[in-house]
Amino acid sequence: MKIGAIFSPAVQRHFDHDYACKRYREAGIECLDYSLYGVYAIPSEIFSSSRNEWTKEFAERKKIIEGNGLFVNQTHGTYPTNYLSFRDSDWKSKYMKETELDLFKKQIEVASILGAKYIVIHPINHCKNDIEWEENRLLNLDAFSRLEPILREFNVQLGVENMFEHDPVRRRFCKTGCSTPEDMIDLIDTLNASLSSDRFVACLDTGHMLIQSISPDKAVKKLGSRLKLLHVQDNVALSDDHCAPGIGFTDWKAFALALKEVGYDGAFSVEAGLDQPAIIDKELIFDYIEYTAKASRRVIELAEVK
Amino acid sequence: MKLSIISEHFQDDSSYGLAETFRRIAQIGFDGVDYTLVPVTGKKVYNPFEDEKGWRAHFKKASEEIKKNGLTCEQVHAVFPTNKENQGINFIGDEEVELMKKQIEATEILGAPYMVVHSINIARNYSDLDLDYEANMDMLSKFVPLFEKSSVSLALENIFKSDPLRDRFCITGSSTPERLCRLIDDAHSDSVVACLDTGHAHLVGVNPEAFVKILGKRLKVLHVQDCYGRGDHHNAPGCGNIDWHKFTTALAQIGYDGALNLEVSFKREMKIHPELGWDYMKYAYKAGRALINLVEKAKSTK
Repeated sequence: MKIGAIFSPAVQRHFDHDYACKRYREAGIECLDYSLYGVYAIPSEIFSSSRNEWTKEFAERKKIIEGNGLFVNQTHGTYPTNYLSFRDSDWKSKYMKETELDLFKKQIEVASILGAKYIVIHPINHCKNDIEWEENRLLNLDAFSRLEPILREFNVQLGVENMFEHDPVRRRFCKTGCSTPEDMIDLIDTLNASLSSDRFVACLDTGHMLIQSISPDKAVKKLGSRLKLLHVQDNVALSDDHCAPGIGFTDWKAFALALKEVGYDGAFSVEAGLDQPAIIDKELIFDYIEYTAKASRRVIELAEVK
Repeated sequence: MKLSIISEHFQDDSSYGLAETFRRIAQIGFDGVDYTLVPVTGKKVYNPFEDEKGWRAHFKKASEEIKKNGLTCEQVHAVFPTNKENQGINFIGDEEVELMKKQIEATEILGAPYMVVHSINIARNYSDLDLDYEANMDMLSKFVPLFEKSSVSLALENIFKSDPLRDRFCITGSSTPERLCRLIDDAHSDSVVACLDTGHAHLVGVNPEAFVKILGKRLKVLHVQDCYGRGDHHNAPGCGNIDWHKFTTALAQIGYDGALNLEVSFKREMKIHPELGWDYMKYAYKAGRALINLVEKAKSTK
């Protein structure tokens, strides 16, 4: 199983691609989860440039990545997906706008240019707990259906990720439209069946799942062959900390065994938060990445231990 | 500034043992260690003091291994809780005094100048503050004379408490800098200093840098650890959301001259694989060095 890591905005901001890729490879990383977003809810400036410019730029980046012995396994689109309307309270205003659709068209093409099989585009988060869950489901079916022809055109699959929301009344994180394995399965199967497609697969975020009090290993078993990509991250089951494996409370042995049981053949890609180490010292990012690579190997080995 | 690391989780024989632990700590690059007098590995307590005849030899062996690897013992951690909290007993009895005598002797054998002692925790928020203060002063009155006769200083640590009614962590008698200063100052002894645990402060909403500034010259010992404010997780710096720039600037401002000691937990990593604990320690080392660089930078721009 290939070991992957997020190639986050912090990495892209602080270092040139060649240096960062070299350090990732030295740290034991084999493939990248390439972030196409920059700041929360604000699309990266590069997508405001001409098509010729951004296609050329990402083709150049691919050469640098591959020149360092890495490849892009997956990319991550701008979030929230409904970045123009995510603060609106009325669900009807949260349908994907043409501007948003246009951005994701570009990002799907970029995934293809980078050679990634997958792009993660977050489901839209509208509901908190189960209130207006059906409406939230409609928003997601609409948005993803509109992306399907583009995914097909560029031969990219969309990783449907499990999300969470914050419930300000109860002051805790809570379920939203696509949080549980059942929510993910419903979206993936409905979209693939109704569109006669195979473009929709599951991206399990282990930390997001743990926040919902669902053990990631149980989610893996339910998702089964739909599971094609991962956001591996640890936390203490209370908040979305994006720690490297081992720093939180996830049962990693159970997770590794579950991956083996379902025959998972994708990358073990860690989505660790790199902003905090970078605040101390930007070079500390690579020390943390080295730990995540080692932790990933150890977790995978757990499935081999009797 | 020296960089030291807690050796608990590694030092006892069921883990890596003394020789291998200090060899590896030195190899990673640390200058010193924070030795846990009675370590807990997994759920097992390794109490060398239970061996009436052998405990001195145990600490001599530990001291030799520390020195052999070019390390210094910067501080030790006493048994906690300091009182019989789990039995509902607030005040220190003869048993705890006798144990403290042994712990001081062990610390001298190890050559450490400081022993970190947990304050007694009774107060929750603003309730039982008087009883908390009384119990802590009773504890200090019994322990301080023992420290004054030794080469070791008592480093009183800021602690937190759990508030089960409100389902959250809360402040107790030593959680704020003002409360900790009062305990230290009222002991009226040069043998009582402060140990600041950065994560304990962050957990109850006290900025570690504010703590540093108020403690000032009282601050001699550190438990540097990170967390996200939702639990006492003892993560390496950078694996939480403490503002380390402000913290290191505050250390430079007060002229802190002790070690930058990391009290990071390796338990969860070692559960995946024992060797992963060492890999995490390597990251912690780099993070610790980066913090020292920030202190030095802040000193030079002061």
